Amino acid sequence: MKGERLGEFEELILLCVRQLGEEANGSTIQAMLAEVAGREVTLGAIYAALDRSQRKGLAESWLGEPTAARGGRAKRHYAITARGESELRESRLIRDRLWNPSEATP
Amino acid sequence: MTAPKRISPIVARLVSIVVPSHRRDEVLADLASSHRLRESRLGRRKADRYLYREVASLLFWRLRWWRGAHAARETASVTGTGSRSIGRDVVYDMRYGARALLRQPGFTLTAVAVLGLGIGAPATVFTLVNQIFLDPPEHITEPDRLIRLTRSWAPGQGGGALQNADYVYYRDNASTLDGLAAYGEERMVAYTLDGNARDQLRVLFASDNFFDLLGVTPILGRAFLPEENRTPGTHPVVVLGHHFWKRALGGDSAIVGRTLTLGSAPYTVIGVTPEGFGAVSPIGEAPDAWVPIAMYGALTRANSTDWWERHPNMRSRWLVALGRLAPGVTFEAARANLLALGEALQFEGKSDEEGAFVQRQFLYSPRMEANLSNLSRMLLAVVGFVLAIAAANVAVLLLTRASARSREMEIRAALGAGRGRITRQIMVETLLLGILGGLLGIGLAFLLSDLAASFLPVQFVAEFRPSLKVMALASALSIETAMSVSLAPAAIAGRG
Repeated sequence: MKGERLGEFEELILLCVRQLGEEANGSTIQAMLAEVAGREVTLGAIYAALDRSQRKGLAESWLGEPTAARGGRAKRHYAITARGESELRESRLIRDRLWNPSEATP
Repeated sequence: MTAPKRISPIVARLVSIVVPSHRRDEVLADLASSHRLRESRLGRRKADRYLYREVASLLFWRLRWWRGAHAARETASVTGTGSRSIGRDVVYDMRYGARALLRQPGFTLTAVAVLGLGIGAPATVFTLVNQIFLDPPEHITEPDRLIRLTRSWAPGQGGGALQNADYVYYRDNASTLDGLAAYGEERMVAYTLDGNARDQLRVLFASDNFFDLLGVTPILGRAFLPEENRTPGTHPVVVLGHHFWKRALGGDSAIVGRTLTLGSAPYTVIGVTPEGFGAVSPIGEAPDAWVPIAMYGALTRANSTDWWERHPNMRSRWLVALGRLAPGVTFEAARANLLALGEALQFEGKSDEEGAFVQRQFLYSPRMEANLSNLSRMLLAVVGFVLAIAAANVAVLLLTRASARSREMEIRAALGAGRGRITRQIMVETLLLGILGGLLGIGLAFLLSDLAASFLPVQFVAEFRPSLKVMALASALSIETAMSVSLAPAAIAGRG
């Protein structure tokens, strides 16, 4: 268990969710990771990370309307919460400071 | 957006087993989209392979979820006082069992190793028997209709090579066959491409109808033509083996029509065989290339035509013939026909005993020879003993452990666990051992099959790998073994 800290994989997933906006669901997150990060990740791993994020209050999910394009099945949408957004920014800030100590804003 | 491709019913079924109903639809929807996107990025085959990885990942996801959601209820599960379904109880039993096994790594490792050896031995033997005798060779159509014709020199003794003239005689006169091809004598030949001297390659001489008779169609170019095998030395053409084409020539798709120097003469590449086609039996090494029989003299720099014309010289015998039974003709009828032709064949210097010798080309014909099934039975009996000894050892280990754990069982009984619950706990623990042992056994079969095959007195073309059939059998064996050895300790624990 990673405790309450933001894990590296979790962070990637949340960034995808943030980037995808209304389009964020299991398969679009997976496709984005493959394209941007070059990582072939399984849906199970993505769901597990999303479950964990939701338990920590970093993301939320709801079941959408069934659409014809997905074979009449409803998809689960994901979005990051305000707390998730601030965790992501915090994590980025730490990285920026470590990469470039002189330029970072306090 | 294009319409979603439906995922296979097998995968859908697996998902419905792994994923609870309230999340099933969304997971299936994601899986279908994911598969479609992968298909466009990576191609159909890779995308299909990923589907099973996805299902495995879903299983781990659900297991993790269970662990998180039910950590609090663990105490109740140990005693079995909670009211829950049997299915969920078994999941708890498995987790409890896994921890119990981890607490005693020495016992667990020993039991798993013994079971693994017990399962690995039959799995290895099954792999060999299966692949040599039961699996049909790749790309060869109706292998059970193929016969092997060689020369007999005394009653009941045969396997001698034929002269080219003999082959032509049988080919033109056998009325019970759909065709008779011939191949002979592999040669290692140095080859050159684009003026660069390369390595050596293994050439097999084959008659013009060789590929047609087997039912093998080249993936590039064509097979031999009759005129390429009519007169000695006039048609320098070569068909390349798939693995050689890939390995040495980089799978160049424009290879047909190019020239390969074999020895010192140029040969035109006319075709490439399909992947997996090697030799005409599981015995022997796969050739790198095939050239017409008529090129034998040119390629081996023979200074006479003994190998082509009829000649009493022993060295003029160098061919083995392969025939295909005509539709409706039995092996026995074809054999009688060829033996009669052998007797009728007359030439100067032929001895009275000399004649035709006919065998089935493949041992795994539906009418498998009696001695072969006896051999398999004996092998299976031996590995059965190995498994029985392994099972007995594990049973002893389990009994010892059961008496050592009587205190633990008393505590569980005092906390309210019923007799059935404790018995099931022991059985589930043993099942876990069986699963681990089975996995180890299958792993051993992967490692040992090639090694075991190398002890056989013949060389095989194919690499030996446990097939799905073998793995299913090994899994069934390990679960059955685990269940049967768990009976005594489970009874003891339940009584205590």
